[in-house]
Amino acid sequence: MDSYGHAFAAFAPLVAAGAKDAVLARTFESVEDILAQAEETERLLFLSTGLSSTSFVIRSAFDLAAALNKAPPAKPAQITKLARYFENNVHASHIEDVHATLTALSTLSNNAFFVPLAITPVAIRASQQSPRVSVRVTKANGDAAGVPLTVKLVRSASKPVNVALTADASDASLYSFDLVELVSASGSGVYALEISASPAGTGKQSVLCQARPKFSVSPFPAASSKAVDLKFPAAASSKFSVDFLQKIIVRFSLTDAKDQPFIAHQVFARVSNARNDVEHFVIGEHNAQTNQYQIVLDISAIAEALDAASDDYEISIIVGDAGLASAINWKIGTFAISFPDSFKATLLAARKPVSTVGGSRADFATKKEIHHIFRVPEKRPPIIVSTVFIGLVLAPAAFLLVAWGLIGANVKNMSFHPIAHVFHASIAGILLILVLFWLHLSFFTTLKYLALVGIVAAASGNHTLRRIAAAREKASQ
Amino acid sequence: MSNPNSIGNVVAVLAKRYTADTPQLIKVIDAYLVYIMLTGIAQFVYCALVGTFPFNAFLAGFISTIGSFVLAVGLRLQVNPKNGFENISRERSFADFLFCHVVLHFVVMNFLG
Repeated sequence: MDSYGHAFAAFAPLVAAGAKDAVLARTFESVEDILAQAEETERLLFLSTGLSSTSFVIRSAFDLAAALNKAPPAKPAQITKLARYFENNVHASHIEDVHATLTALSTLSNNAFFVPLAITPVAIRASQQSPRVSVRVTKANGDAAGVPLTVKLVRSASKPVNVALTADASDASLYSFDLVELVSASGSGVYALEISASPAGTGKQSVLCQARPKFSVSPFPAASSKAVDLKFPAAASSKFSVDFLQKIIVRFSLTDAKDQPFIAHQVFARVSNARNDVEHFVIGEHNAQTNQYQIVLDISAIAEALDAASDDYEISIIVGDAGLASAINWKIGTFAISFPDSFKATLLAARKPVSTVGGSRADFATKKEIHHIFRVPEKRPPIIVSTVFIGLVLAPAAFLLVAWGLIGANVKNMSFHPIAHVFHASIAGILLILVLFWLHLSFFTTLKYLALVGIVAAASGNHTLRRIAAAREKASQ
Repeated sequence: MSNPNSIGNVVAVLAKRYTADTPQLIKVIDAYLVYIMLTGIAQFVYCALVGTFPFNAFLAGFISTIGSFVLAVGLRLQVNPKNGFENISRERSFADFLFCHVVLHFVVMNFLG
């Protein structure tokens, strides 16, 4: 890319000296290709070879263009993006980068073909006190643009307004106009400002225009239907006495500076008592037909929030809106609200007590201990039934003895060798251990004893049974 | 003379053949099997009439009878020379029987609670 830059730089003095050649023209046309190959994002355009390279190529291209007296083949959007790229580098710390940035911005600001402009909002909030909106329009290097501006004000559902602007006498880069006067017909609200300047640049800015509401308010206790007129921003001079069965109804309308009805984003009444540190908010309702706000303070409904404490309460109207410079907080008066003791007692008694342990919430208190519940024993059968079944279960044993007797079972083959006695004893021991396991031994103790006796039983059993088997073999032969 | 094919006759012949042809050793085991079966039936009747509470005790008793029955059947099979267990001596079978009983009744005692 730098080679193009050197070509442009070399050709510029030649052209200035009067050279005319097809090669020069073709080389100059390659600016279009260079920009087409450059890195381009939604906001920026630059050469992939870096800041100084981009700066050098652009500078020499504009020099050549000046020599040829022919606009470089680049789109305005591309040059604007290039200017934005160099603007992004104004905080460069390396001396080479600083030089590249400043020279490029200077070239883009002082050329005969296309000068991108920067539009910076200065004051975009207009109100009755400061009705003017101002913007600063400069070249890329910060010099005043010195061009006339056209501003288009757009708000949904109303016609756009076009204004022509000229620079301030004191500051050539500053442009301002009276927005409040301009929008007097369409009223307060948020406007989009489309600023265009020739030869370049279209910008959009949001502008807020403040409304200055007027209040009229009529609080009256419902029982007596006694209305009181109040003027904003004064509070009622006398104190009102209200009891817990009454309602306080506040009605008012909001209008802007042009006496147009105005719907605010947030409208509340705040009931507060500084002594008890108690406050409660009631939301205002807007009536579209009458364009009035109404806030109903039903004392019995808000008694809970006020702890039903008989005292003097301050009531304020609070209006908040994005179009207001600051929210309106209008104290309308002091109200002595009385609750009978019996009412207060029932109300407080109905509240759930918050149990606390050591000052902390009950959630952290010791929980009730959990006890395992065993299966409840079922009713046992009468003793006679149990006894009968013991007999029934044991009876087959008698049958066995009789049957064996009839079959002729006997112990004639029983060996009386000492080891046979050991075997019989160890078998009896194992049975005894099993019974002890049932009665009181633990599982592992039982296993230990069983292992000991089992070894004896295995050894002696092996010996005894082997002898019997051998004797049988001998007898059968 | 009654019909030779009647049930009474069949049973009588069966009993006669059993008494005559079965070795005495097998008869002893058969008596033991009947004894266990009767005990198990008594347990089951109790469970059906009165209930299974306490269930672990019932389970232990019933496992004991069923296990003993199965082990005795195993012993009977191995001791009977007609079943082809000649390479296993009846003493060896009896040793297995004893060992299995020890294990079985250890489990039973565990359940008994």
